[in-house]
Amino acid sequence: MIKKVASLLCAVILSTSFAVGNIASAAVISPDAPAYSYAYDCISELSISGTTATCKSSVIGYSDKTTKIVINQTLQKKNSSGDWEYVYSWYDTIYNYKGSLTNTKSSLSSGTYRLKTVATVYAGTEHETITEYSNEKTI
Amino acid sequence: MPESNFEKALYDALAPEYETAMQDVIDEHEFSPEFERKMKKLINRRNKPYYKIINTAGKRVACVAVIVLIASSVTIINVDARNKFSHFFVNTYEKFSKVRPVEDDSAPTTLEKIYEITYDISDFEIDYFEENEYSRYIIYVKDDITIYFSQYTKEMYHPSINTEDAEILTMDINGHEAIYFTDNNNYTRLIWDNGDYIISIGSNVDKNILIQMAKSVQKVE
Repeated sequence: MIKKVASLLCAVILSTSFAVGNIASAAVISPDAPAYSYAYDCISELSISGTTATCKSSVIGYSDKTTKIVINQTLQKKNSSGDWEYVYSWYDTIYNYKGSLTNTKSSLSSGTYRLKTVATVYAGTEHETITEYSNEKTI
Repeated sequence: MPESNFEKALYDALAPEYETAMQDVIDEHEFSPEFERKMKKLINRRNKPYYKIINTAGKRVACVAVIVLIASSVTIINVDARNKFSHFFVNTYEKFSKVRPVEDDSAPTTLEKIYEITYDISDFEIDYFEENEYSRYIIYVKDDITIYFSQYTKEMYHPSINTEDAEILTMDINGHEAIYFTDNNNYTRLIWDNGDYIISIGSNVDKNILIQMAKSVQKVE
């Protein structure tokens, strides 16, 4: 019985090792795996001066593919339990393969903030949605 | 002779000899200290809770194999998490990679110096120009050729990039290690830390020309 268990354990670990090896050589499987087929760059920038946050989301597509970009910016604040809470959001649609959205939010209370950018990038009727976060900034 | 008398006579005749012989056997044998140590060790081993798992040579070999495999698996996982670039942390997912510069407190937090491509691209038009105190992004276009050029402070550079089916390699750009790859849309991209800022250049132009463009990037103000 013990031998059977040991053999089974060996088999499981061997198969796991090969699986992990393949993942390591190829890539890690992302839980939300956006395709990045139409988005060349997506960058969230958050800067804070005093109690005012400047939020910039740049979304750049491929000039020969991307036709429209919908940008959703959300300023988030970390609460006492470490979760991110909504502070404010902005939205814009750009009928081009590149664009950016810049907004400011004043009178922020002390705490740690980040900018979440959700971009839906279109190539004709096809689209993909990607999410990018800025660095965290603390007031 | 009655049977009981025969038994008594037999007993009387053999009992003294039997007792003498038994006396020799009853004398306790003293085992050697080495034997005692070995026995104690065996008994202790037998009392271990995992004794049944390792009580044969085959089981011990299986256990060693399991430990080696677990250690190998952990090593493989660590290799994936380990950063192989000197200036960037690159986490590669199935279809994209997250690129993060290595933290550098001494790097400028705003664009104090501006870098540009000095390779002759005068026949290209600027199709997009966007800048603030932390970043600068220019797209040059000529016919079906597009060049993406950007300069970011290290603090602000936080992108995800299309690396699906791409192998990320490194090359030297003017003494700086650049990461480069060709994505599945046939755009080659080079990203490097020039000591102060993160410079990125990407295009669907010939790769060798792109490398020349990258090497021509210089401070212009």
